[in-house]
Amino acid sequence: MPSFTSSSSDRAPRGPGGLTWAVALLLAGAFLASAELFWRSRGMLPSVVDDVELWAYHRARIHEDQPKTLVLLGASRMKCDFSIATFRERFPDWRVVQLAVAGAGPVAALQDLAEDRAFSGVVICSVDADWLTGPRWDAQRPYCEHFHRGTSVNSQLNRLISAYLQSKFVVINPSVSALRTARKCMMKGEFPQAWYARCDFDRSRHCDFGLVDDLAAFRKRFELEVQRWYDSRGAVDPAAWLADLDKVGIEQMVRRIEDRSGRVIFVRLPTTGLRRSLEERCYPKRLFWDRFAAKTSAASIHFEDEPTLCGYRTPDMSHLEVQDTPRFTTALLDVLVRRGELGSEGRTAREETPPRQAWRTQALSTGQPKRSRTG
Amino acid sequence: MAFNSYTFLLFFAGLLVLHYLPLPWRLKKFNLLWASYLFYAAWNPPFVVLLWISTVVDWFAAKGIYRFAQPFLRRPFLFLSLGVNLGMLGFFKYGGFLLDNFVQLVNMLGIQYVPAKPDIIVPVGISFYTFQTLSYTLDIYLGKARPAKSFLDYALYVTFFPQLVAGPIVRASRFLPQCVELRRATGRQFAWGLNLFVIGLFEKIVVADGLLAPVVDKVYDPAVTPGMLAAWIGTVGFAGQIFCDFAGYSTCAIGVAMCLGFSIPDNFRFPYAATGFSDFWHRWHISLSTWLRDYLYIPLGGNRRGTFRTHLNVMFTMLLGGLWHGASWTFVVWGALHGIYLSAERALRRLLSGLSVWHRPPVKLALVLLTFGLICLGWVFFRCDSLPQAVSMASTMLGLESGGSQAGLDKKEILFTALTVASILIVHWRMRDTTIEAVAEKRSWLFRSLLIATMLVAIATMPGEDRAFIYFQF
Repeated sequence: MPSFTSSSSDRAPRGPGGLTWAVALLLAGAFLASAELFWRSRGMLPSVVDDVELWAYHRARIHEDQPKTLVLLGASRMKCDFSIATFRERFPDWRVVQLAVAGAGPVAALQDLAEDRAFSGVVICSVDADWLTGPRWDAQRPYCEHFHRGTSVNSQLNRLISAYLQSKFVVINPSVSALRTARKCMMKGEFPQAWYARCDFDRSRHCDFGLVDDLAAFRKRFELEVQRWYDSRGAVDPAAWLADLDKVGIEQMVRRIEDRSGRVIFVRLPTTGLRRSLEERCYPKRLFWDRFAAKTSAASIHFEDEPTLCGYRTPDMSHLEVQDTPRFTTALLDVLVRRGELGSEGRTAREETPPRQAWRTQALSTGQPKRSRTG
Repeated sequence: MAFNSYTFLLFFAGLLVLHYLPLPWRLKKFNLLWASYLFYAAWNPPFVVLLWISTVVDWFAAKGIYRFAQPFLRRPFLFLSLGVNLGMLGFFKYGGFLLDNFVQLVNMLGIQYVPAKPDIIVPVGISFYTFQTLSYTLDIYLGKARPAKSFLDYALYVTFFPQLVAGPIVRASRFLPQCVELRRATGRQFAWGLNLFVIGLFEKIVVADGLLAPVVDKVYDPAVTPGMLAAWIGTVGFAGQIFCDFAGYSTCAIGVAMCLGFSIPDNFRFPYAATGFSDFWHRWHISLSTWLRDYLYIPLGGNRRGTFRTHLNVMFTMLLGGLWHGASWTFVVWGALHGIYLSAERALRRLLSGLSVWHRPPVKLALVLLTFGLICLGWVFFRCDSLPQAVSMASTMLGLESGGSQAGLDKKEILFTALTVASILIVHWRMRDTTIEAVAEKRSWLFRSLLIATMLVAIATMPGEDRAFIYFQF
């Protein structure tokens, strides 16, 4: 017979197992409760870890049975600037699905939605010229692939439970994990600071820049990073850039969604300061955004074209203060309603605009940007 | 469903309640069976069908083998079992690998052949449960066991969830007798089972994933060319990671089974305290090494057919053992390295085993470190995505290639990783001739409470990237 090792269940060590466990649970519970109070006393708030699994969970919500769906696509600006709570107050019967991914452009996710025959809602897609450049199209592809092939009911349920716990307890947040805290204490002799950006279960991110110790240094750091990034970018030819957009089929994606009675709205969310000037140097609005807006059949809104979307505080030059996001969202919704992009709540675009093709031809031939679909 | 998930905790809690209700034993076994299918289906429900196929085919094959005395009547049933199990394994695990190599071969011959890329998902744990069911039919063929009397017991043996997806590979002769009478853990066993579960989770979540995996991932990033120090740190880090990951899973499995009143065998015995490679394979993945020994090495002739044939048998066994781990040439090279190590050790032992110097502690320690160093060299091939990357990494570690960077590691990360791995080695060295139970028994219950509480806190406050157990892929 095979000679196996000693049995493993008949060898439990002697001792009061129940008491050992009772005391262990008491000690662990007391420690975790104390740690929770400690971190909260230092201004920490619970924050959900945003990962591919949470993205996949929200992506699946698109298929739930609800007549009106708004999907938010983009990168970190969309996650930080758009207040879902404000939208819900105004449009209570809509479902909002936040699918923006920090640090990743939305082209792949837009394509994924376009190919999803079950989707016929409204997409607000935050883009800028840089995110639309070829090398960055696939940034969100891993998220889409995970949704289609990598996730399961079990992993979704597991993620739901962990997200729920993360939304309730600070102590299980990675920013204060035992390892991180130990490293910080050993290396710098201090505890981790409250993180200025926190994430909700709905994947919204809230930037409370008041939690940043030295705002000037913080901004300086971002300025250096942005400068380095744009310095590394070579000159981009607007015509080639536009041709690339044809190649990836942005317009076909928009059309496929529109063919199912859905709608796509491209928005350019606010940036300020050095970032904005560098963006303008590399991708002048007139040559990039305006041409793109003129070419696409989707609605498009650039914050600089709408006075109510300008003038917000962006301490890191790219994301709004959490206190400003309701006001900004209201302003954005006003624009959308005015243009009739949110159905019956506003005038419909098709009631007031000339036939789309004629309008696009006109805009392209005059070289004028499409400022508004309501004329 | 992974042990390190909230869903498993819910699943396990529910199952424990069911298991300890005053129900008939047969019903409890049935509960364990459907729970095990649910556990497996959590990854990919359709693959449960493969489990059923393996279960049903081997059930009838075993009956057929046992019924007949004449080899020519028994063999078809054995071949049926081998064909179905190895066929499934071959298709799902090695199909893509074989096709890739075939394409490369015909391309080398000047034939341009571009087949459609096979879109095969490897069912989790297929290598484990196919080997487990094969051991059942092989034992019956070799006259070592009789077929199970109850299909329910046999199905539970194949499917029992604690060991289903990453071992230990349990033999029927160990498991089936446990199904005869009601299994209930005593209070002491239950508490110790939970202890083992927490220890396993601690190894996996805190040490493997929290402390070591980030460093290993940096060094083994294919885009990075690490220098000698970084390569060694990344590799010893991986040695610690894979041990804590895999042994962590086995410890969880043993603990979970113990809570349900079942006993499954140890899979690890502090392997980094091994003084040589034969010793290492008596301590590392014991259930696989004994499987290979009993069903491959010994049937090939073992050491009974002369020196040359013995070396050949060792090499063949280790090559297949390497290939069992994954469909890649890197695993084959890993197996070959261990075959060479074992053969060389066997030859050296014949020449030098009579010397008393081997029993001196400093020499023993030196042997342990030498063994660990050579094992680490093998881990390079196990961890790298491609052979060129592995050769480059191994060359760097041996000083044959210079240059390279620190792979983004700072001094503190290097120190931290070195300390973590050194701690693992010290624990293995000190525990090499004892068991965790023997050590626990010498400590007071309060000390044990403190230790469990510390591990629980560390597990709860060590959230990081969600990583599957490494051995799930095998």
